[in-house]
Amino acid sequence: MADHPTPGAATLYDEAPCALLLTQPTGEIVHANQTFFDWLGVTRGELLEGTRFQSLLSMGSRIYYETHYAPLLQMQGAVSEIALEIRRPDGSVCPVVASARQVRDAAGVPVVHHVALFDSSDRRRYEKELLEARKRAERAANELAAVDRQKNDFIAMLAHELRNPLAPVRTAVDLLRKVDTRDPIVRKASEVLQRQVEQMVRLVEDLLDITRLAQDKLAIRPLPVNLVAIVGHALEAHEPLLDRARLRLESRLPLEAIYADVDATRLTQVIANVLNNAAKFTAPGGSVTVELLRAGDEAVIRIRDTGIGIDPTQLSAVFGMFMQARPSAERKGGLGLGLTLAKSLIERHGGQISAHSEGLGKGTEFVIRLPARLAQPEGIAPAAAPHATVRVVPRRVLVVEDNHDAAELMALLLEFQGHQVRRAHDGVEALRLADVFRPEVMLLDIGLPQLDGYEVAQRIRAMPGPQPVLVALTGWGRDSDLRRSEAAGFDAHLVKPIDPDTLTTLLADLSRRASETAGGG
Amino acid sequence: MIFAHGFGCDQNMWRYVAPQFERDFTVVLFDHVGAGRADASAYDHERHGTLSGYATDVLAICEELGLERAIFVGHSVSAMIGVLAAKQQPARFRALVLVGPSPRYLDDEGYVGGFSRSDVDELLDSLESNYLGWSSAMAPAIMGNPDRPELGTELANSFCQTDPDIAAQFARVTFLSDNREDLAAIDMPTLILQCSDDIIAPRSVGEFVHTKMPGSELVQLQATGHCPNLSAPAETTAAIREFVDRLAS
Repeated sequence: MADHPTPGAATLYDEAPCALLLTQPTGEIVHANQTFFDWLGVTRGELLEGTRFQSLLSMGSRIYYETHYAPLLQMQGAVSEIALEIRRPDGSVCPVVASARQVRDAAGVPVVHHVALFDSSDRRRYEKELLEARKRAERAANELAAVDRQKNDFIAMLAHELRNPLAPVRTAVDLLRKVDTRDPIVRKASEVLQRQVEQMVRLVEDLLDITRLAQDKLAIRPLPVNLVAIVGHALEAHEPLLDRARLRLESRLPLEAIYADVDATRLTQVIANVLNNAAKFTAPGGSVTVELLRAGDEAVIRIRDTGIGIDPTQLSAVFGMFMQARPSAERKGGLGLGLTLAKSLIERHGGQISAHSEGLGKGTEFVIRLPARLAQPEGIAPAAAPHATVRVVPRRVLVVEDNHDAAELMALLLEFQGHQVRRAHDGVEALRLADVFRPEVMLLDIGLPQLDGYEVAQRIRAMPGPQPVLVALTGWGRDSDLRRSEAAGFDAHLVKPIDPDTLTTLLADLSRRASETAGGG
Repeated sequence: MIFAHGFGCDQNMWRYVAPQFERDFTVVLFDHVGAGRADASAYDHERHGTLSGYATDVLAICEELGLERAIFVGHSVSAMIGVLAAKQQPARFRALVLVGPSPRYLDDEGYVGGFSRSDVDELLDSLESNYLGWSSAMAPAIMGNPDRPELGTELANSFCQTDPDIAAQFARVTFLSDNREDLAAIDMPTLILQCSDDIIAPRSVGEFVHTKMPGSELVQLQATGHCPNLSAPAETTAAIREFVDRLAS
């Protein structure tokens, strides 16, 4: 049967739902079926003798034919599903998908090409639609990314704006607590105020950090430290928090040092966030156990509570942004940023943090792993004790701050500590007072009207006579700000809201240095 | 001898010709960035935005291999890439073999390149939209590659694998190039192999190259189309052989 093509086979050839061609290896058409002529819109007789298949293609397709299709057919002996376009004599274009086979003789010399073409007009239209859809999706994604950036910028600005009024509030609260009063209402109220302000400062700081994270500006400055000291200080600083939550703190710190390259402030922040989390979700009477140990080349910090635990299916979600992986009835205050930040900060140290819980009601354990140093490094950074006792030497202090409330409160606080204080609210006044009051220390806001803080600092440094210690006060704590204030002649740089303890320590430290210098000269 | 492939394929283009010279020469084959097994991450939008960037790649290969006075055989656009490389560092090359060269594909006043601006625009548009070529290239264009890289690989076509995005850029650089002024700077034996009925590098273009290059000779091949190295390897090899034998004597 195969030897005798039936009339059916001839019909199949001529009327096949695809165009079939037999060509010379040069592309010259030897045979073509009726479908091909129908697509082309010409009769068999109208096609000139010697016409090559490639000459019927659009120019783009023809180049593709010469540079891709023909070489590949030669090398592989076949090509499949290559998109081309046939240009009809009337100028219209028919997109096709071409597959071809090269028939060779016994010596391997190409004899003819068998070519099948499939009309792909509809397919081309769908592909165009899909490409359009993809472009639209990309545009939408880009727009969303732009809106997201704007939102991050807004939150960053918001956090800065929230920070500014917090500074004088914090100072005022601190002053209130220092005033000697027996009135239990005032004492109670100022305690509440302090707790809430500290909480607000923490939230604003978290908010700032999270925007830095989103903008990829969250930097860490690792230095070789002894983790035992860092973790110990962090626990000491957070004892009051756990006391208030009526939780027992059990710490298991090793006797020998564990060294690691760590940004001490950031690690303290991570521990604080995890402890806060534990305090929030553990009922009074429970306990929090903190353990630090060394496992091979890693330092491991385990923080375990006896709290409400986490559903195992939610464990990985606790580090997600704005996430509180707890039953909604148990939902506590807070932005849900603490653990997200903790994770990013630990990862930027090259470490890992993970959450473990055997289930609801069974407590939670956070495990922090950090790369440890094997040997004691040289020049280890001292772990600053958070609440060192400071002996105050009375000084002449000039407070320069355009926010009158903030200036007044800072002055009150400093006077309370026994210093002699004057206030200025702009740069010109600051220079005048510097001349007549001869301060030993100047606390100088950077964002001042008329002359800014940098300018004032430079002019003061140009004055003859004994120089005051200059401390910059700014809302921005970027590296560039620190460098700039240093270049302008500042001795120190404090970021608002100013923590009164930090200010006291700094003042004692700076004025001691200043007196040493004065004594030496 | 360095064999450089043109637009559209990779070093496989030379599979029938290059081995014929291995007995007498150290044969160097390479893939241009974006083609074959070249590291596509080495593609630099700026550097590879001109043919000179590709010429710099060729010179980097010469330097790495310590090649001096090599015979450079360039097909299609690589013919001009070879001209640019030889112009930059003539000492690297002893002779050039240009297979189907064209210093400018677009027609210009007093010059027939063979292509109108609209021809080339059509080619570039269809290449950049993936309307031409392997059907499989359409999937990554629509879906993006990273999620399902297996769809981006050429399944049916195992030779001449090219990165579609780089190939589209390479086509743009190639078909909009104009290197007519560079030809005269070459002062070394040069063989031009001209095909019959080559739509990409027509006969008049081959003759133009020949007139502009004082040290050149033009050989008209019987082979038709643009790839005599594949369709007529024996004829191509014989022509190159005759030329290099004369260089040696």
